[in-house]
Amino acid sequence: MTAPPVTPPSTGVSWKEAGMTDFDNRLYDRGPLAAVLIRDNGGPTTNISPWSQSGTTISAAWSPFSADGNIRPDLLARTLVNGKWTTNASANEGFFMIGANDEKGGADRKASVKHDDAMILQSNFPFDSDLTGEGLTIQFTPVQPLDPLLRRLRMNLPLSDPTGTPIVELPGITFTISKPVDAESIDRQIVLLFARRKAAGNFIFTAEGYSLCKLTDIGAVKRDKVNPDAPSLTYTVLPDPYHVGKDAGDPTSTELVPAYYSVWTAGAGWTAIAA
Amino acid sequence: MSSPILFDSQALDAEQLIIAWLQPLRPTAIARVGGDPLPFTLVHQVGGYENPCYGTADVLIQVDTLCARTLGYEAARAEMRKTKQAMDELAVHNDAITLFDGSQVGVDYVTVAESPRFKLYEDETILRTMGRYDIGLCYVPAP
Repeated sequence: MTAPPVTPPSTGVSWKEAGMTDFDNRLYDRGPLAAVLIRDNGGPTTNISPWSQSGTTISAAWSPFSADGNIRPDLLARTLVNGKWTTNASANEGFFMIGANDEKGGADRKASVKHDDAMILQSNFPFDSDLTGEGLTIQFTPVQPLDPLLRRLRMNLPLSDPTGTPIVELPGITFTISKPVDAESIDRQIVLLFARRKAAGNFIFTAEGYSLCKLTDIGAVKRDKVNPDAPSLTYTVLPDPYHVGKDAGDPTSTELVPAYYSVWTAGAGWTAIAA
Repeated sequence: MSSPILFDSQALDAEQLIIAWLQPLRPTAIARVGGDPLPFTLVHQVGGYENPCYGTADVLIQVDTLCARTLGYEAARAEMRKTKQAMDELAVHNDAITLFDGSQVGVDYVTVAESPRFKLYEDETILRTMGRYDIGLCYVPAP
């Protein structure tokens, strides 16, 4: 990169020639293709770090995408086959997809940032400012409340046994469940998957991996004639000691650093931009 | 060289795209001329707005399914349901659409703005059902 001259050049260019209209709608993202995946956090057995380290060697680790950039087929613990919910008998990642979301209900990711300005006697403006708190919540409203998965999430009950085997009942079986009085701390893991089919027909996939989350709010539920009898669920993202990523400030570093959450981008629509 | 007053991108043509999508069901076009077979699908853009800076277009498309009145209302209703199923497939699975030149395109979203229903039609030998769909599209490089 050439360092720009300190003094401005004598001749300027138009707004367009200066690059101020270099818009690229391939980088725009919207649309209904969204999925919320959730499972219990099992510590090292549910490590979704995108990178792993062996000595000074960094190599790609977990990803929701296959090597070809498409979504990996082994994410879900259960699938809908010809109208029947079926336990996925093949080896899988044990995620549950929460189903349809309320049209305006998710997944909302809300960051909270607190700061403390250092004020001084001689000025009305901050002398310095420090971030004193950062956080993130994920809120979504699943609208299939009859699903035993949703009953368990609403009651904050485990989705798998201590060995990691899923224990969520399949829809349609005789089903009764009770909310225990004894409080138990349940650690979840959430992956948000999004897709946008680009104008050229190819997909851009994105995934946000929140390795450790805890339920921190349940929305009100009101039964009426037209709206689903379903509450919003809010999870607070917490640092997972197992979740690590590359040092974004030094991408060539051979040391991984603790990471709060990770974002993956893949798909033929994405790689086509680089061509 | 293209004219300097022409922007280098434009929205996908929603009518062309939906006509290509529904063509496998039955003859589909923007207009039906005498002699065209029935049943027939008409596709018209009836509204919409665009944001050239974002490179997006959000349009309202009307899809009319025309059937011969002699076949009766049940036959017309069955054709209407097929049209709706095809639009629902696009809405839920966001399939790639193959245009007549063989190229593939995609839409950002499809939602049902008006469920299909019977509507009056100027030709009384034809039964018409009409549905409307909101469709989100991208800008693509202009030819």
